[in-house]
Amino acid sequence: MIGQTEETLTSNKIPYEVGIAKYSELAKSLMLGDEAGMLKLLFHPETHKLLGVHALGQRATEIIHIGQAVLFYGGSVEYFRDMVFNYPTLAEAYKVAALDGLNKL
Amino acid sequence: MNVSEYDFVVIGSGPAGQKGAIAAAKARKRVAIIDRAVMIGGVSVHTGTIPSKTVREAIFQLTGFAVKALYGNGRRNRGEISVQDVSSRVNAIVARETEVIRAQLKRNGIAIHQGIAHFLDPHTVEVQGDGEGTSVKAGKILIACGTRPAHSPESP
Repeated sequence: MIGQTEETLTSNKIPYEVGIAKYSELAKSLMLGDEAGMLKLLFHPETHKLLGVHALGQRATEIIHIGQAVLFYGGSVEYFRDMVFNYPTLAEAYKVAALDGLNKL
Repeated sequence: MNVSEYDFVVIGSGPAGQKGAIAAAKARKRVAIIDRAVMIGGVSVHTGTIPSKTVREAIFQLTGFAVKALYGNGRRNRGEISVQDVSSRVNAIVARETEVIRAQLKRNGIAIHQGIAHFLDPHTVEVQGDGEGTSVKAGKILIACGTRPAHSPESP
């Protein structure tokens, strides 16, 4: 994981929204046989700025770096919505999670 | 003949057709999508992307191919691997992906008509082979029925 957690955001009184991609929804993780993993994005509900990224499951150590770069450069979840992600990949979890989170607003 | 009316009809349920249908549904249009029953999800799910990548991944896993270099050929004997082993993996994942797409369309209130679309006039499409002889009318129709390979005479 990188950035904030729901606990730190709550204790700092920073509003946030959550976007989740379950590995069970991704074609690539079905191919790899991992249906338990997940990717969670935390972002600001008004500015949509990315606040935290949590990755669990196969190759989480690899895909976390995508979130690390966006977080470091102060990017927003629209980046994941608007960019093309290869299919089927685990990196695609970022797009699924961004759409999930933005749909909740 | 049953006639169903929509604001927007999409022919083809591959990636382009799905996104077009969902975008229209989110704009509160009445939407239907037409494709053959065995092709919901399009070439990507049934004959292209998903099967080919699953075959590759299944062979890596069943043979331990990726780690052979570390442990030496023949050290990882997992028995004979048959075409059936690989194709049962592929079939399971294709079925699962088809369900994901079907659920996504349903969740967005999109009607699915199964059959082959055939234009009767610019705003009416007959769905052939659905057993009911349905035709659908729409103000706008998106044709997203896929591509053919382009063969260049310069690269045989």
